[in-house]
Amino acid sequence: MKYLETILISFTREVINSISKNLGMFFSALTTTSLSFLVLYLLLIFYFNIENIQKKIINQLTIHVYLDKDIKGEKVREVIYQLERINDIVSIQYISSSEALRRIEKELNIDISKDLVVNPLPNIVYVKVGDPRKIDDVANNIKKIKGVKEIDYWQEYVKNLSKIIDILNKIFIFLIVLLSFGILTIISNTVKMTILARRNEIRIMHLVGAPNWFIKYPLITEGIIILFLSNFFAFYFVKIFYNVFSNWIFSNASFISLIPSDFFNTIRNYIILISFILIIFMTSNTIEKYLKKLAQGE
Amino acid sequence: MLEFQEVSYIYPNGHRALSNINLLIEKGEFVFLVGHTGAGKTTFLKLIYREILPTTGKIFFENQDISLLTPKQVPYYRRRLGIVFQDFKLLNYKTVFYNVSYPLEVTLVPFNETIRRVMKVLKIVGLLEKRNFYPDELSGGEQQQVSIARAIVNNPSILIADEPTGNLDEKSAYKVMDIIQEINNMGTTVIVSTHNLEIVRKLNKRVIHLENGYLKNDSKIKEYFVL
Repeated sequence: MKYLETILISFTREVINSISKNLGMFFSALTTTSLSFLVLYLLLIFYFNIENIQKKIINQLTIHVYLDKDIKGEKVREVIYQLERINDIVSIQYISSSEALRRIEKELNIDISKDLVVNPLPNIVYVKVGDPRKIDDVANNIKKIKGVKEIDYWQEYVKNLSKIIDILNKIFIFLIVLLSFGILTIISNTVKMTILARRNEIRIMHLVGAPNWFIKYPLITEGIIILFLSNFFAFYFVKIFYNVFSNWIFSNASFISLIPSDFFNTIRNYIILISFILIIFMTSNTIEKYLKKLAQGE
Repeated sequence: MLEFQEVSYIYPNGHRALSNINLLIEKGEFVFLVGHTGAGKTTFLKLIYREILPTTGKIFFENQDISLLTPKQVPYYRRRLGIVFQDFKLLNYKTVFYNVSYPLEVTLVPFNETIRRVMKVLKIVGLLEKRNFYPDELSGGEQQQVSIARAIVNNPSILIADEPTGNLDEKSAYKVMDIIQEINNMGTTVIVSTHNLEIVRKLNKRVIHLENGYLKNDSKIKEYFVL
């Protein structure tokens, strides 16, 4: 217990000593990483909201299957049976031509059936697809069914929307990866500069018999402190901004539904976890290299 | 206690710093290492504190071949040595007390024990009253005394001093050597490299003379000066 207490006291003293001796460098690294994290969170907000909007739009899409005019009764059931056998279809709703006409009359509050000699509306089946990305495949299978006259699911619109969103997603992913790498490099460089600034002290530590971990862990801790503090500042700044923005959207453009801000807590936890592991790996590697040089008398 | 067997060292640039050194230093001995600049004195000391490894040959410390130590074992080996440098290598932002306690701090000695040991060695080097001073506030001789206190605070088996009086005036140099002599009297083996032959003559100890990397002479002081 006494040993542990001594380790903790020495360790804390080393960390405070290291930060206080390089305060300017520490704050500049903190500011830069905070700003980088801020941009990273903004990019992630855009990325996930755009993906969310895409999903919502595509999920609302229904394939309208128009049946041949002359099929009735058993043949309609046969078509529906064939539709049910296609994978990825989650719901099927059949509306007969007479039902469609009745709905129009009800909706428009008029009575047009008495003026019509023949009902011009086709029998129609509304088909919903489980995975919107498979909508093209499902549509192609439906076309092959005997009795299907034509189908409509706004193909061009879906394709164009998906294309734009895919490009945007790729750009965002590229920027996110680039920025994440930048953040890790900044923190790793700060540790490198700290090592340079403290090289005399590290050499003395080395010569008086300090084990490598005693030299290494305070420096790694410094990197982790920068990571946590900058993440904290950036995350809460963006969260406050996002909440205000979400409330404004809710009252002024309620048809746009944004992802709740709590969703980003999970994202933040993942970012911290991944950065934590990478920071330990990167800074540890940098320090090991330096200590190896020292051990070789360079 | 410390034995060199056929030790040679060649620097990566090809410079041969030491050639075929054979010698034995017994426990409790006081040894001067003399020779011109470039004779191989610092290389000799670096080999002892394992900053470098011999190109050929073996070095035994208490019957253990120090070349075979793993990187993790090296810090533990160094705790058995005390090292004093010509340029003191003190941390200017730490007081005398904390400079001396540093080896104990990094080896995780409990603080109560640290206070006891630091006070004891500061008394030996005569700097107890100046324990709260910073190195900048001390003379060169006093800074070297702090450096010696730091080197002996861990109760090392060997005290290695690389030109400890090189930056000091005559009076301070003798004071530092008196302290080193006192440490030797307490049973610590001492190896001092120096240019100052006056000090070597006065202390009358064993002298190892290196010349161009070769062991030119290894003798007691009287034999050395007769040569």
